[in-house]
Amino acid sequence: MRQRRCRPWLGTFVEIEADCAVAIEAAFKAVARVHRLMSAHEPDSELSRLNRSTGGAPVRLSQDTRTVLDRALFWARQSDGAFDPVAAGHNAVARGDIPLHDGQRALDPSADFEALMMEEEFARLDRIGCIDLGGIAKGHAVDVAVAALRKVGMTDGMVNAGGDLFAFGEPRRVVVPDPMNGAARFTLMLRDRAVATSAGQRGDGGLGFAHLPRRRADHVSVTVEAPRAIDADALTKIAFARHPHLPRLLALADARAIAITASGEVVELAGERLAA
Amino acid sequence: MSNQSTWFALAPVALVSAATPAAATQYLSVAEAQRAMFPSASAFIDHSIVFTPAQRKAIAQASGVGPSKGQAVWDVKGVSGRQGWILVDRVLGKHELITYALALDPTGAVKGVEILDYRETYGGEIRNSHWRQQFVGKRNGAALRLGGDIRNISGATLSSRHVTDGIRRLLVTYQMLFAGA
Repeated sequence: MRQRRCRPWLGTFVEIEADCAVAIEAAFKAVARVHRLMSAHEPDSELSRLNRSTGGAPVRLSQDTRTVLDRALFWARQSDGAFDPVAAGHNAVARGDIPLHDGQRALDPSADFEALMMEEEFARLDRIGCIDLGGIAKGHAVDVAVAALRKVGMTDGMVNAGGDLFAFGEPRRVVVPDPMNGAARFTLMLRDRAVATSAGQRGDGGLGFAHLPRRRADHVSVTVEAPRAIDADALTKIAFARHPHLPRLLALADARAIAITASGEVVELAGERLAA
Repeated sequence: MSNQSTWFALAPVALVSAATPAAATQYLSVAEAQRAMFPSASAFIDHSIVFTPAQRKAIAQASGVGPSKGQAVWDVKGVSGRQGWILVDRVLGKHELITYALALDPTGAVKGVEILDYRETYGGEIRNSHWRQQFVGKRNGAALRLGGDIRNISGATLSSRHVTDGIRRLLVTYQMLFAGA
């Protein structure tokens, strides 16, 4: 019988659905592993140690962290820096969303993701910066949780980490709401695919976009569907920045992007209008 | 489970609740959570209490979070003695009410956390009618059933900070009132 569990991880709520409690447990274990490695909040996470590595010894990284950093570098370069975990980290620190841990020195405002030096399993920041993987590691957590479900023989399941979602087996209908008013704007049928949404945060004074500093369009929500959640997650930020070569970047990941505009229109970012 | 509250702070916050057509989701009942968190337990002995004003004040001071009137607590027994504790708590977020269970091992260390249910606290009806009127759905055609096939929202990230704050309060409550019991 299909079961659905929900636990607080990654700063949000992670839901995992499968036919077997043991499989769900294995998938949560994978999510917890990603949380512990890549939390910028935990002072001793691999990521936090990397953030304090400038001028010191390189940090040895796990396969998970390398996978995420490698893919983040890929998207940073492909997007000419529109996706940049260091810029995102500095923004998060400035907003008080990420603490500076003991031993972390004042950030170099000119540092960007090019400061990351990686060689095999070792890495170091060559300028003082703060990497925040919040724009991509949640997607990776979904991917590894799905892999964990499949590894123990599940042929049907769903993982939803605060809106980064992957479904396999039975197709799942996924609703994307309008952040302006909560109304459902469109749905996707998801099977063996991932979807991620970035959107304005509803606050007292309307929608806020401080967490999306590179936003350039009038979109209030961008949803990306892709074969892997790690790519869907990263591409929402690139799409929000309205990268001029977005169609090419989406094609690199076999992805598509759909935006909701401030007036509530649903538009496919390659150009096609889906619904008025 | 420490410090996990605002980890992925970059990700946008607080839209799932505002947008969820299925405005309430139940994952586990208390009894189901007990069995899931302590599968080999032989008994769950109810030690739920009502706080005295002094207890409430002490818990609020030590945890930085004001407690409710009492605390639901079960002492978990196995065939060879205590297996741990389960505390059930409810926290109010900006737009949501979340019930969750915290499992502790016999030493008081966190063994697990399960969300039991999640509910929007206001505005559900208005949003639901909005949802019916404004649904476009042209990609898939078929009409949707609320709460049936619609349980999956790709809105944007909802913060779990209130639950993390609640766990901190429960750990203080346990230390003050149950550790060593």
